[in-house]
Amino acid sequence: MRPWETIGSTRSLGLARIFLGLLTYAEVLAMLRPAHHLQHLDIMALSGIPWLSVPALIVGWHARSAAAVTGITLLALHTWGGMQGLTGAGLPWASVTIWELAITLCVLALTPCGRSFSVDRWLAPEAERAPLWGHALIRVHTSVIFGALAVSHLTPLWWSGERLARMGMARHGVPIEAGPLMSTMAVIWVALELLCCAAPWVARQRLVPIGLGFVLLQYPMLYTGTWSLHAAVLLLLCLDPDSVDRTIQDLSPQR
Amino acid sequence: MPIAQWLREHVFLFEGSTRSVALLRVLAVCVAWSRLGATLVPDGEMGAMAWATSMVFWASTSLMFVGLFSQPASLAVGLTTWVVYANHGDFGTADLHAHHVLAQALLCCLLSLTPCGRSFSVDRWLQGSRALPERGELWGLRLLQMQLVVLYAGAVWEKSYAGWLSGDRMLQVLMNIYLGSDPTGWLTQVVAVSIAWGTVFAEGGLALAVLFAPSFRSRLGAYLFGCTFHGLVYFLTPVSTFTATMAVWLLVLLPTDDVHRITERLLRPTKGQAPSTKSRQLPFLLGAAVLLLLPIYGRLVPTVPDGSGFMTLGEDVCEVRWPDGPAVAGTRRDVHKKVCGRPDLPSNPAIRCVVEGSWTDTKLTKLCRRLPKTAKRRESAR
Repeated sequence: MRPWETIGSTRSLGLARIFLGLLTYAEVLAMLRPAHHLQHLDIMALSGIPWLSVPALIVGWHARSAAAVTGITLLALHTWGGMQGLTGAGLPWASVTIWELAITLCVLALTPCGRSFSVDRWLAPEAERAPLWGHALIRVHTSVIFGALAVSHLTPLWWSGERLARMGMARHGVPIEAGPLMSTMAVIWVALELLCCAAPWVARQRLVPIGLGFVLLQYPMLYTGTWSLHAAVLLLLCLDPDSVDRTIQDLSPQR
Repeated sequence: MPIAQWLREHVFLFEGSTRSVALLRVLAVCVAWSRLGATLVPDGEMGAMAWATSMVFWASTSLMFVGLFSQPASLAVGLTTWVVYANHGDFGTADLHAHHVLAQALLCCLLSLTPCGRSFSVDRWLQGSRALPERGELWGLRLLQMQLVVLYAGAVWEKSYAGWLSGDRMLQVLMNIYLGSDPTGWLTQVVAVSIAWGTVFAEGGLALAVLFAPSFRSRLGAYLFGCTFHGLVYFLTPVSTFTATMAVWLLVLLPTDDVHRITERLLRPTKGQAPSTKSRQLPFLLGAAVLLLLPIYGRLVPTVPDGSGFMTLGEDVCEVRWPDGPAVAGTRRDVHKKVCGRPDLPSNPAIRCVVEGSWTDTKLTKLCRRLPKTAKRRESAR
């Protein structure tokens, strides 16, 4: 079946919506406090919007609108703040983590993410099956993220293991020499990134767990922060929604 | 009703749905990861005890999240969090010896006294048809509720002094964060007094709601009020994860059978109209084109990341080596802290730093010059 013709369960999207909302809360909201932007009233005004849209996203109230508003606001802040050379309290505005999270939220707004595990469902229950062309776009987005990462690593500095050695030194505070071991790791790293790029489309049930292990291992190895969890949610979303639905049914038997 | 009988019925033998404690279990782990995850990632500077704590933390939080050996895992998370709180020096940062970390430890320890693995868990899935009903003895939940009452009552008690109730302490907070050091007028004093008293009433009200709120509606209202109250504190002041911990903990306000009813309604399949079979080819192809073009767009516009990510990660490292001593390495800022202003270290080390992509030899004076103030890379603003 073509990606734009797929119909399936919306439960995985509902769970992803909640986790992405929690990630956005953890990653972004603190730096959007008004106390950090007293000198820039325009930024402060824009920063107020996610304080309303992120809780709405988490509980699933007008979920798609909340996702769109949050994503677009973060992109606007990202671009506007970056143009003004601002630094937030914690992370600078030109952060690829926040950029990718914002794109994910915009794509999430194109999916029926409010149809499961949400206040929207409590108020107006609908069948938890819907067209999943938006879900297919999330798979494209996941492939683009990992594909761009792999392409960015096609440099002599990476293949020699030097970049990995430097990242390891920054993270762990010990000298690390770039040598055959680092070089081998660098090659395996790119192979795994390409695997994650293919996982949303090919042999999902087998490749997604491998990709999941790879992105979660990056958390203790490097300064990836919430990017690892974000990538993990994206990979899990790429699993077949109906399989996820069956698993949830198995976990929640009747009383 | 005699007190002993009341205690038997409503505390010791209190039974209810296990879904609310299961939700607490999952969400408590999310808060624990948010607060302690970055601190407890093992690195080369940790001692043996810190390494062991880190390993136990990651193993137990993972088990607690998926609900495998849920109760022992919850206890392990609580104990490791307490170890971090008590031995914060081993983890390099004094702000771990704080109320929000202790609250997290208490929450997880008390959760281990509840049947939190009986719902939404791998434990349940593994039991299959032998799984026990989603009802259990919830005296542990009563302990969670009592701890919540003590927490809020304690907050009211701590604030019951002239400095707070006069608004002076709140005025200090407002001046520190927003107003600066210039003298303030009567309006600011009124606002400070209002916030001070409002906080006392809010916390006192929440303590009373846990004990006396009669119905689901009133408890739901108290829960939403509590989340809003803590959310406002998070919005206005630079606090950490206490807001999130309390948003999770306040779930104990809600009657367990009502939580079961709500989750049941959300999980119950609904028959509805068959989904539309209209083709979405055009919006899909348009969206895919935009997503594919974004990394290229990023390279052209300086304000947008190039989409590949992490190009500067590790490109600010330095390495310091002495002839007869261990080498020091890390980001320039970290090496600066370890090496500069340390007369006990031998002089004339060999130093190199990555500058514009290449290793460059440098001198101690250059390494130790005053660093420009930038946002700290991994300091949490949460």
